[in-house]
Amino acid sequence: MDFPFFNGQLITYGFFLLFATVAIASALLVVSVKNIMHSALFLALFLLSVAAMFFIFDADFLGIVQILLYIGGVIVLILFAVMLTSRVSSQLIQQTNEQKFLAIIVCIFLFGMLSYVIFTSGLKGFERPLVEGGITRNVGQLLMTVYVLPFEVASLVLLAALIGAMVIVGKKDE
Amino acid sequence: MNNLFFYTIIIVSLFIFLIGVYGVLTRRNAIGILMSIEIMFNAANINLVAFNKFMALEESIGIIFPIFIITIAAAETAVGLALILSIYRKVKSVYVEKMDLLKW
Amino acid sequence: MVKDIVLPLLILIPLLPLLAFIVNIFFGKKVGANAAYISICAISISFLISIYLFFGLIISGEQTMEFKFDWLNFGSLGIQLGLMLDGLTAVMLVVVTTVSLLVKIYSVGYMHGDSRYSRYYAYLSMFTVAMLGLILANNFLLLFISWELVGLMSYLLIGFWYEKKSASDAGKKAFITTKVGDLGFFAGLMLLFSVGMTFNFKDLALLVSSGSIPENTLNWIGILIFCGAVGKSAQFPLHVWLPDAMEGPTPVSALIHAATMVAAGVYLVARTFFIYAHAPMAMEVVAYTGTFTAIFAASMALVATDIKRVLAFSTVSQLGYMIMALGVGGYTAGMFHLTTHAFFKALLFLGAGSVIHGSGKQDIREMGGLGKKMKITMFTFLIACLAIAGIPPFSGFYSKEEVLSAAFNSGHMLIYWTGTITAFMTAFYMFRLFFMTFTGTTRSEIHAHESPGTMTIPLMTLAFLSIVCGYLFVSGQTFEKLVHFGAEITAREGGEGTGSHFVMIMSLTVAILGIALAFFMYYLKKISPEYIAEKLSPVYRLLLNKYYVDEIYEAAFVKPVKNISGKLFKFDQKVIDGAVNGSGFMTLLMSKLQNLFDKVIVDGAVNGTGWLANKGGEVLKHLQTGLIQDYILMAAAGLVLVVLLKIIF
Repeated sequence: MDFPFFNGQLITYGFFLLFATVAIASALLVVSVKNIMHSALFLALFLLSVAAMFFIFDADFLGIVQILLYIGGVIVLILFAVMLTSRVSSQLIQQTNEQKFLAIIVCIFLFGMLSYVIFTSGLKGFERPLVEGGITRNVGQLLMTVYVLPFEVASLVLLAALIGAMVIVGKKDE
Repeated sequence: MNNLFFYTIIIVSLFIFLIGVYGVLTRRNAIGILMSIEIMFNAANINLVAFNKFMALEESIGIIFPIFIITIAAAETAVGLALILSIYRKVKSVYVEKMDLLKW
Repeated sequence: MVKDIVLPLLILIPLLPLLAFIVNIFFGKKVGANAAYISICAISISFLISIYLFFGLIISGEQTMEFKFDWLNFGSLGIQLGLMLDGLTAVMLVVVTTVSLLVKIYSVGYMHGDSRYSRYYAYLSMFTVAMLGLILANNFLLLFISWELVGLMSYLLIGFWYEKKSASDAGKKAFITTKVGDLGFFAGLMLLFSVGMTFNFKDLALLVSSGSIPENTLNWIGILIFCGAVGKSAQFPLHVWLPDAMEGPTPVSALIHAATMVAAGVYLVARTFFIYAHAPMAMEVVAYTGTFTAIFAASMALVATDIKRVLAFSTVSQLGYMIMALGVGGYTAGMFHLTTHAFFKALLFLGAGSVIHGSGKQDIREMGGLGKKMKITMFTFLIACLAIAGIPPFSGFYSKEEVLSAAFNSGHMLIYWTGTITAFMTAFYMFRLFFMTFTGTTRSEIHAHESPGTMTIPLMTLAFLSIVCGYLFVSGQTFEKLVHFGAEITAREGGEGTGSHFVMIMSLTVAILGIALAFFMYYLKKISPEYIAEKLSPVYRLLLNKYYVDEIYEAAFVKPVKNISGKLFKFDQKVIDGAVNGSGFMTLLMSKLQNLFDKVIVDGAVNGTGWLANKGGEVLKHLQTGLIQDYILMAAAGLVLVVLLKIIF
């Protein structure tokens, strides 16, 4: 006989809505601000709020990976790229192209239709019980047993991307 | 309650995904496009994690799949930025309308 | 003689001159003056082969060798072509190749410096090929093909100097006149094929002797085939082309009009003798045509003044002799006379050529006393004259005596006496020619000189042959052994070869009389020819104008044909041209309509397609912006569309 507004799930929902708002707001800012540097920083905020959502959904390991990889790696990379390229980053320069309205219309259409599809899909959400021994242990075991081949391939992809990036960037101009 | 939570998550992730789409469609800056793509990746990840929590799927698949996505995204970002830098050296610009070598 | 090598040799005989022809006609510019040596080489080898085959045939005593191969096959009815070698063929081979060889050697000197030297030798070679093919054929078809080829080559050779109108006219005349005869020949061939269903001589001979063909049909066949011989051998009434054909180069006259082409007609009659043997009526026609031609032509030769024309009339007359001999059944005699005549008449023509070459004149009234300057020519010419007049031991005596005794023994006394008178005339006109040309004093400005060695050597060779060939054949009867027709008509040939003393003495007497008369009139000038001409002026004019045969033909055939042609031409112009023009106009109109249709509708469709593609490209190319975001936008819009469709349906 819980009070409907004060059970644990409701609190979780409230937190989720908060971080969702932050994420949506920062994502909107990422795609709309004129300064690309600010855009990158808003991206960091967006990623952080997504990481927070992961924590809310009991995916602790994923949240940590998100923070480490994205905020620690990708954002730094992007910031470096921005600093290396944006020699002319004036406020006056239009940062979006002329098909803005067309894009908005397409997106609204997509949103409407996909929402319709989602709401008519008849999916039922239910609370799954937590995995015994913690979710991180389970993920680790699965990665080393069932998904060991994708795991190794992913490492190869990373290696290839690393070398590829170095080759592409490091190539001397003629 | 669970249903409401679940559908809210999906709609939010859809909304974030479409923001990413909008960014890809409108950003002139190639790095901006790359960032929009990251937003789309994350929207997908949110969705997967929500599925893991609220649906009867394989155990922990909703965690493992995003791990791979993040890995690939990192690789993609590295290569994409490298390409952008490389092109930038050639055309002295990061604006995609300048990269129109395939145009008639 | 080994039989296996005969066929390749037989093929080689016409093949070598054919190669010479090909080389000379296609590479004439390159070979230049070597054309003569190519032709001479080829014909020399053919000549040697012919000699080998001739003596091989005499020694081995084989009768006939035949080689056949299928040419056309219409199921049950096939046509075979092939080559054959028998006595007749062997003799003709030797004659043709010998005269060809000598004429070609002679031409080196005579045609020296002519602008179409290699062409001349090409024609000569091709003529030889055609003639050899005619001789070697074992069937009527190949014979007819070669026959027409001979006609064509003679046309080209007679009209060789076609810049001269008279020469090209003479070529045309020869061609058309012989064609008249060929028409009959062809009709005869078709008639023969329709009753015999084969062209092969041997099969036909068997068929005819079996008696399965009615005599009436055989008579018609014989007469029709004889038409061909009349045309080619210049018998009355188709003799008119031969005197005109003297417009050609003199060696050509020697080759064509002495030894080969005109002999082809005689050869044809001899080859088809198996038909005449069973067609008495046709045989009579042959005999009387020959006899009439002999005396008719001889009388014209009496008054002719052109050296070559005299020889031409003489040739016609002698051909009449041969035909006459065949007509009375003297198969061997006719062929014998053909052989000897080929040699001495070729010699006469070549001698005349030498005279023309040396003096630059053709009219004997302008000549005279040439003997002093042209000793070799004179002596060889004298030998030939004696041979043709029939003085022993020259070849003409033997052959002429055989011809006359064949006529005598067959019982045709009219033919015999006509032949004897002709012999007298022959002796007279030949020596008239000789005396007027070589003796006495020059009657005009002539700077005569002896001809070069290439011309005199053939003359001497032919003179030698004219002396010996008659004797060679008569002694031991080799010729009769070789060229005989077969046992079945030996009876008809009568006592041929036994030699009636009466005939021999008569022919010798008339020959001597003729020579003596000529001697008195033209050497001693005791009797004035002009006086006789005046006394007998109608006859003289008649002879001089060649019995007005040409004029009669002109009036009877050429003019009506021209008139009809003119009328037809007008008809053509008015009616047919009108129709043609009308249909042309209609076609034009239709074409214009079609053109319009084409331009508006077809072109419109084509151009419209092109225009559409072009404009469509103009419009659609704006989609290809090269901007990745435009493409993604379109992809997203596409996704919208797909989802929309999915929702609606």
